[in-house]
Amino acid sequence: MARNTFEQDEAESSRFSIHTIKRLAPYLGSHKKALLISVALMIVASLASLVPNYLIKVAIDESIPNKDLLGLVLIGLWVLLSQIIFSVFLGIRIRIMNKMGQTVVKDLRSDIFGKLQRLGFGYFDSRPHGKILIRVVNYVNSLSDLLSNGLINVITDLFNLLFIIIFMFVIDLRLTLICLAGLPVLMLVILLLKNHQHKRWHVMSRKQSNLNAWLHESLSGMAVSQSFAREAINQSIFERLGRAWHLAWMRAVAAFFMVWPGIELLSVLVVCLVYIAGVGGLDHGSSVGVLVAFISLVWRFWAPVSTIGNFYAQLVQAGAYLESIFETIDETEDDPLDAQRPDLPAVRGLIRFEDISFGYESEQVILSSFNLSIEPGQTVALIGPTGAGKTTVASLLSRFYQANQGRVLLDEHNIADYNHHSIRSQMGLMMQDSFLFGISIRENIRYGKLDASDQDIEAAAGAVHAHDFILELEQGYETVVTDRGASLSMGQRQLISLARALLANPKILILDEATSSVDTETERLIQKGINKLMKGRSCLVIAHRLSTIRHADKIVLLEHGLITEQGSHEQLCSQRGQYWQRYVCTS
Amino acid sequence: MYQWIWSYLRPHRFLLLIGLVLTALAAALSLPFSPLAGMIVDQVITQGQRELLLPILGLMVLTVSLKLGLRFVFQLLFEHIAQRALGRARNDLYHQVHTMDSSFFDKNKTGDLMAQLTGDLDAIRHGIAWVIYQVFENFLIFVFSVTLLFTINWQFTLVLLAPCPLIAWATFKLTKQVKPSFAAIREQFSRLNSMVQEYIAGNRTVKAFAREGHETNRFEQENQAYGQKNLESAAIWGTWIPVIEFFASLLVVIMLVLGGFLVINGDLSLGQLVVFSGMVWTLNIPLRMSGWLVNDIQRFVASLERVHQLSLSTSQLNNPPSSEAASSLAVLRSASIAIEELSFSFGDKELLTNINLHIEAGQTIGIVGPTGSGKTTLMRLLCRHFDCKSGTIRLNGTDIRKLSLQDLRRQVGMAMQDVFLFSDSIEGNIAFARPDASMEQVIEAAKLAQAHEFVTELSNSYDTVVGERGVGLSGGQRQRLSLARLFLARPAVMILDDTTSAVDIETEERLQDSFRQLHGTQTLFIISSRLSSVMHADQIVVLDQGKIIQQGSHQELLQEDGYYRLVWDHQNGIEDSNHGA
Repeated sequence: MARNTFEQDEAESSRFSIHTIKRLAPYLGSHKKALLISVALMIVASLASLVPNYLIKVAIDESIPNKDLLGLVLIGLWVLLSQIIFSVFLGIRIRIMNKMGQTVVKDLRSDIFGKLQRLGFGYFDSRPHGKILIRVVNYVNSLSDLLSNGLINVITDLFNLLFIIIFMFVIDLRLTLICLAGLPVLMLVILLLKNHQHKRWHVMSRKQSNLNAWLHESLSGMAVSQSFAREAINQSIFERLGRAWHLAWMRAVAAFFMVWPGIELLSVLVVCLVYIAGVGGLDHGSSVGVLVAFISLVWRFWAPVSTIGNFYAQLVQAGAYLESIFETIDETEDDPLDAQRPDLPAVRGLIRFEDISFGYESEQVILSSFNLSIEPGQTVALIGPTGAGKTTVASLLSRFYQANQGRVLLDEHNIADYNHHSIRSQMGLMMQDSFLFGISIRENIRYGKLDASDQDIEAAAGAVHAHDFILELEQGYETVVTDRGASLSMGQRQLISLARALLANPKILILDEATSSVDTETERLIQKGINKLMKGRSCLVIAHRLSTIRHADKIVLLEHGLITEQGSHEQLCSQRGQYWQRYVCTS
Repeated sequence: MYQWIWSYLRPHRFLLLIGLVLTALAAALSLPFSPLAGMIVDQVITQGQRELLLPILGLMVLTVSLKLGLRFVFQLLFEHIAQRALGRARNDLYHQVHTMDSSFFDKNKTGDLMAQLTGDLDAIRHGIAWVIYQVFENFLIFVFSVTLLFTINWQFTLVLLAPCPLIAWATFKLTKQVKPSFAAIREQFSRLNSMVQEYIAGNRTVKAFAREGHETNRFEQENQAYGQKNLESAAIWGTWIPVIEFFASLLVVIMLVLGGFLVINGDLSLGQLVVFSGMVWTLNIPLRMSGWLVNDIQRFVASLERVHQLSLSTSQLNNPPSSEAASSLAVLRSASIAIEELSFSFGDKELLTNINLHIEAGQTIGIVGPTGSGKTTLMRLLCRHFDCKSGTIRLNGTDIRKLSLQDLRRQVGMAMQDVFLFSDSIEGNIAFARPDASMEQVIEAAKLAQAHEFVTELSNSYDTVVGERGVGLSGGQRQRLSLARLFLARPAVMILDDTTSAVDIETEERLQDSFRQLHGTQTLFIISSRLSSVMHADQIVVLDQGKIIQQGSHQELLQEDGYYRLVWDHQNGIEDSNHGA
């Protein structure tokens, strides 16, 4: 599996494609009404903001010279009214558009999170976590301004533009055509710049992602860095990635900042052309009034054009983020049909591995022709050197991975035919790295069974002898678990996650090195509790310690993906084989 | 707080000044535009002086190009300053986080720290790159237009400015009300970030328990709340900004009605009123903008407060700089350790009580004891992940609190229970503490840690990239890589904190040989729940409830009736022998 590291830019992107932006359309779909209302409001508001111009002209040309005091006051009131309308509409628009923007952002984020839920381990394992995080949180956020403000401004300005062009046509056809001649030039420039800009934003987002990845990793691995006094090296990596981001950012904004002056300059040049043509036209009988009126319109024409051009530049920027977001949403799932599969019926706990072959990568062989059956209520211990495939067996049973060949049966059901949710909810799995969440101990245990009562939780903790030490903590069950605090030892963490697995009360229990960090005495103490809980359940136990495995109904020795010995402790001891030599004699 | 941010901007103050001057120049260059446009209408079109057209247009294009050029330059300049200043702030904060002790990480989740060091810093950067020149530009426009109006008719101008106190009042209200809402947004951002971060880190557990639904609920709650906080904030500024815009528009009404009245009364000429009516729109721009700018500033302040708070956090560990430290330890090859009357408590709970321990250089010490007895805590005190409240730990006779943390940790290395590997190649992970190590040294360390064999079986051997936290490797393999990492660093004191718990018995035996090779040069602490791992140690210490209950060699301890023998018997399948004996 090709893994991405913090220093490596993620996949190169193609050119900017409007298709990426179009994929936002479904998210906007349900907001058509909000958009329509806002556009209508904005059009009325921009008309209202035009009123004062006109009224002032009327006042200066007519009311004041005519000493019409009443007319003046009336005009004043009209101006006031238009401004009230403008302000009220502005307020409403801000609310509607923010609602829309935030909802779209929220929906998009829900979708990318939902996708993460359906992606297998492979996705999480093949890239730094900081790079996933930045997509779900930061990238999605960066779209909110575009959606809340950019979009509505552009739609409104498109209408403005339409009105202005119509007016211009009415006034003077020839000058209008000159004026519009600037547009193709503008479009050409924007289109030429587009891929260039896109590339720069894209590079920028990758550099930012790298920085984020390193930040996340070094925060998560802080204890290791501090232990090895590696602060200075970490710092230099961080600064190097920071500089790379700074550079990429400057290149991207430089391209971005060029758009606005570009449009502005073009507009001035076009206006100059209009002046020249217009003044030239005067000699051929055009009227002065028409020219003056037209020129004032030309200026109004370029303001929305400028907004639209800038919006396009913003879109190109957003495109770089959206691409990454949709890249994740489009990621192929290991098992896209999973949701359509039926629920696994409640099982008794017969487990059969039939002729299983498996490798995480093609050509890699972890298990070959693996056969094993566990009777309901039986406990089977899986032992063998590291890398023999023990954890793989557990992973195949919980359907974290699909066997390349052969099948895994629960009772008579091939687990490949059922959805993983229904399979895993009948299993209690305790993994090697006992991950605890940054919530209270109580809630961590409750994770095994969400509707468990506090008594259930404490009973589960009691069964694994965790209750006493938890009570000794300052805040007892309410103690919040932290990543690397002084409060909990590794063994204690294992006990908590063991309690969590037991609370789930599963038909099938899988314990992968569940007590490796727990001392043998504590293990002995909890063994009784566990034995009681194992009764009536099928258990697969992976362990190295003789004390943990000797009481299993069946002990299976796994080497290089092959079963070399199996039987009860007594049987294997009497065989005087590998098990006896390695596990019994040496310890 | 402002001093803090200024300390980063200060080195760039000349660039900032240049940026502001350029901003002013660009603003000044936009002044000739209207007069020039007026000249075209008056002189060229109306009066027919056609020959003036091209020179005027030329001048227009020239000033506009200059203005745009300047604008481009100062925008980039401000971006550059912001990036540089915040880059340094980010580096400093990153450095600071590295100096923090465990209690800091107890209080600050990874996701929260991430939020401060990314989202919040970015908001500050945006503030500096954008808000400074915006405020300045608008200020210039305001001063310029007011000055101009004053020269025309100061009484009328004064009256015209009557709504300004109203605008000031509204912006003040906005400032007050909107700030907490922005703080709430940042807070919620942090929570969302934390939630997602933890979900990603714990994705295996989520899947194992089939808790996707539960996680979705948790996520939606935070996601929804984040949107909600944004909307609450928008409701506040969405109320005040239109109010401010409205107050600003009152200027127009006053200008028109009062101005008209004055003209009718003959106190003002019509020409002057025309000038006023032109300028009033210009004057209006900064007034209308004030609401938006206040908004941006408060957004900036909300993030600044959070980041500043982070910058104020201090480590509880005293860390004298290397130069001032009691002695330089750079060349230590071996080290003796003396622990005297050491007690340590966390919260109310005493984790270690009156520990006394003397260890000769090159000795191997085994530490055993029940879960939670304080084994790891003792070792972490030795590495100064936290400091003891009473008692001392001496390394070659020097109190370790008088050493710089970096010096100490170069001498005392620890392979932790919870193995953390970086998303880097295996070679990079082993050479973690010594990136300049040669490939031969890396392989040698890997061999010593019994990792070479499985590494060479991987598809890309030492170039194989492991995932963050070492995913893709089995627990035992990860532990051996962390051992190799420690072996390559080869500190004088090595602590192996249950680093062989997931290693199979055979490999562990071979590891015992490796440990023996280190005996005599490295001072070695081996914590293990497997007694076979510590039986060859020079001294074995049994901890229970933070106290040393037994101490001695394997043989000595076997003679005593106590924890050690009890566990020894159990681990060797001699059931209940203590009762039989």
